[in-house]
Amino acid sequence: MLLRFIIVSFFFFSCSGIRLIQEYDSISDNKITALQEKTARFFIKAERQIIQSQFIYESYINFYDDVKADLNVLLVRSRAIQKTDIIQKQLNSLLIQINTLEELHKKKINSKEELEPIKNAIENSYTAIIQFQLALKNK
Amino acid sequence: MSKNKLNIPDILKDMSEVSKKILKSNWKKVRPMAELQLKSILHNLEQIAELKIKGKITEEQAKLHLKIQKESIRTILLSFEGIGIIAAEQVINESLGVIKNAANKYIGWKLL
Repeated sequence: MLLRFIIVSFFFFSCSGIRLIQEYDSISDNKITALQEKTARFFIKAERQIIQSQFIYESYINFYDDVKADLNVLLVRSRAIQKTDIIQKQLNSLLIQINTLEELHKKKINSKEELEPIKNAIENSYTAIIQFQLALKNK
Repeated sequence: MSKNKLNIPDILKDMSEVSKKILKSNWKKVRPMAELQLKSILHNLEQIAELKIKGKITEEQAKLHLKIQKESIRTILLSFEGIGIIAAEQVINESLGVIKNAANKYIGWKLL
């Protein structure tokens, strides 16, 4: 029994701890924060323009292209790092939200009331992603 | 071998204490944020329903709005899942630390 205990312990400690999830990646974290800033600027401008009926899809094509490109860069990076399933799923989810926002924008978003639930949902998503990054950083 | 006894119930008790402490501290950190985020999503769903009832958005637009909310909930839940996995990892490694100390103490020198 005791010998078995020591052998099992030796087996476990021959490697340095058990890893169930990715290590913190500062490059991804910084890129996510930069993306969040870009999106926050979008909503500030959108809220101002929507009042003046100037929130036109064509003026924001560059924003959508930029954000989607950034998210793709992040996804490719995450795929190259081991055990990043959670962040990959989160980024995919955020990409779906941005694509759906674009679809709604093409159909026209007419008021601040319409924009508000979208803004809140996307902000909540960023908060959740950043919260997870902080937890990885502090582990 | 050392004169120290290897007390399995004590080791299990220490492992259980370590696990409880880690899980409790993690839940304390996550809970307020979880409540706030999920309340905000519920508020958004109410707003979307109101927009549809008032005829300010079409059914198709309402479905797109709901898709955004659904993905947002998914992102939030994934975050909790990730934080849970981090906690589980901590519990496993701290528990292994308890076994490591017990084994070293039993042998009388630092084997592990």
